[in-house]
Amino acid sequence: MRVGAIAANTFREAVRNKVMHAIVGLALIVILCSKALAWVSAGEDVKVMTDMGLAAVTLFGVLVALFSGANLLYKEVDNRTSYLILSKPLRRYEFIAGKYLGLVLVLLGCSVIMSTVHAGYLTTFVASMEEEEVLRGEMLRSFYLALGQAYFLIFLELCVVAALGVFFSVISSPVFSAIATFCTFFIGHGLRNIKDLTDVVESQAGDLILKAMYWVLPGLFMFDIKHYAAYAQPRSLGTILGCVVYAVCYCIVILTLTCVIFRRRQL
Amino acid sequence: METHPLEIENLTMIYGGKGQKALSELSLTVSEKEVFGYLGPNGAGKTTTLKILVGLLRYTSGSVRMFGRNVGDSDVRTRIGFVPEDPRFYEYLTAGETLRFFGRLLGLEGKSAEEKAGKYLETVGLSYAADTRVGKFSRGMRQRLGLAQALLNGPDLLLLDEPLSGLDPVGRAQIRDVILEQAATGKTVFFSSHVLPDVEAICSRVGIICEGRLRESGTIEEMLSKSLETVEIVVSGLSEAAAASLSEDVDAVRKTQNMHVLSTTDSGKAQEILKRIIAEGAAVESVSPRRETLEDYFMRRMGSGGEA
Repeated sequence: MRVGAIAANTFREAVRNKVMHAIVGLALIVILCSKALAWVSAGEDVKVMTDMGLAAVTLFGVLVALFSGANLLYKEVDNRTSYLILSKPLRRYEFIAGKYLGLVLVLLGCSVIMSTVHAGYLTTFVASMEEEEVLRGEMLRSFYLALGQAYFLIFLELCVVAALGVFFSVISSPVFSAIATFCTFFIGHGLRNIKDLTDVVESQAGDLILKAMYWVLPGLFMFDIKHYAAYAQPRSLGTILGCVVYAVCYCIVILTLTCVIFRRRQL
Repeated sequence: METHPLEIENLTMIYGGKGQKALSELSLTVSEKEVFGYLGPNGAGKTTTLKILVGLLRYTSGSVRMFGRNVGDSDVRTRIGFVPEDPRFYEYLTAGETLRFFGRLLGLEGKSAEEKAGKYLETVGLSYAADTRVGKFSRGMRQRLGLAQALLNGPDLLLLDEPLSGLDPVGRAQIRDVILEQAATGKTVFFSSHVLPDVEAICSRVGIICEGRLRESGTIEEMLSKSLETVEIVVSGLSEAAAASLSEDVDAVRKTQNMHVLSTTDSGKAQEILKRIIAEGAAVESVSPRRETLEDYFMRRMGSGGEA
């Protein structure tokens, strides 16, 4: 109940925040503009619109996670709103859990809005296509399944990014926290290449550093299936479940670290 | 074993990075139904003590127990209500939403939280602002809302950090009355303040803290009974020669625009002085025995370096 109260309040704060409205509004404009780019793509309209739309959902979702996550705990401590909350019979880990769950609800809401508009827009576009170009039957089902999987994995990725944002927000200022989270997001997408690099690096120290990065930083590349969605190639259930387990475990580790640091914090 | 609402023993708090000692072997006990005033100049350690009591700060050594339980036990906070100095709230919530939110943190369900929110907004005189966003509140209104949230769970111990600061005279009287009502219903109140006349009016016992050490504690009567009484006689139409003559028998003579104020600590001598004033043909405007106030006492103790 206490965790629920904190989560509901965090969600309410985001819903009443005008910056959040602006980010989601901008995301919808970009999604709706994807058709303009599709016109110059020589018959690859659906692929371009899918790819671009999913990229917009990811990018703006990350912006929401950065904007909310980076401020999440810093603001509570800096504004001293945490004084009254933590003087109630609430443990600090419950406070972190509530704040994070609230943020996940915000990301879920944003993802659902952006995904629904994107999927609806794609459906309308597909329905308006010439008969010989129309995706149909098994191909259409595969397309929607892959699209749904892509939305789901984007949401999971946002949950991981949000956990990192919360972690950085407990140890630093919002600006540093946002920068650190964004850098981690960026590196997390290129992590697959880092693993490949370990095979060619000769220095032992370099090899060690790259391996440490690979194991410590989040492997966000595994959540990126935009390309498969654009080509109507759904991933196996095992792959999706693997991503779920990875995201849950990574978030638990990061949030546990956050709780340990916050528990020792003098307010 | 008898347990007190608050027992602090040899509490020491050293801030990590700076190595600065904020509290040094502080010991005090607050008994049930007591209204304890916690006094001290700025930076004495009052807020640090209160933050430790509600678990916002971890102390370096000593022990702090509330109702016989360690202060680190979050369940003990179901029995306390806390108002920090200049309380801050979520600015996007209304006063009603704020209290319902705190109600949920205290385990109050929907309707019960709703009812209590309404009740305590009325108690602190904020019913009219129930639907106003807290971001638009003045400091005094936030102070009242702070007290309302502290009362939500019907706490056995109220911890108040400067609850009367930032309030206008009407607001101060209103909040003072709420605190006195709580005390009358048997609640224990631990109350830090700079406003000494209010402490004198509200508290049954006080502790004076300076540089992180408790310098003195006791009932107000005990503290002030040791101090001297003064009789002040205000006289008009007294000649300069008579005033000079009288000044030899009183402790002090002050001249205002058209009056003289004579002070003596000897109440027996006051009778004789009055006779001489009348014999001089001057008019006695007032005679007031003046007892040392807590403020005088506090200033005197602080003036002597706070040594008890």
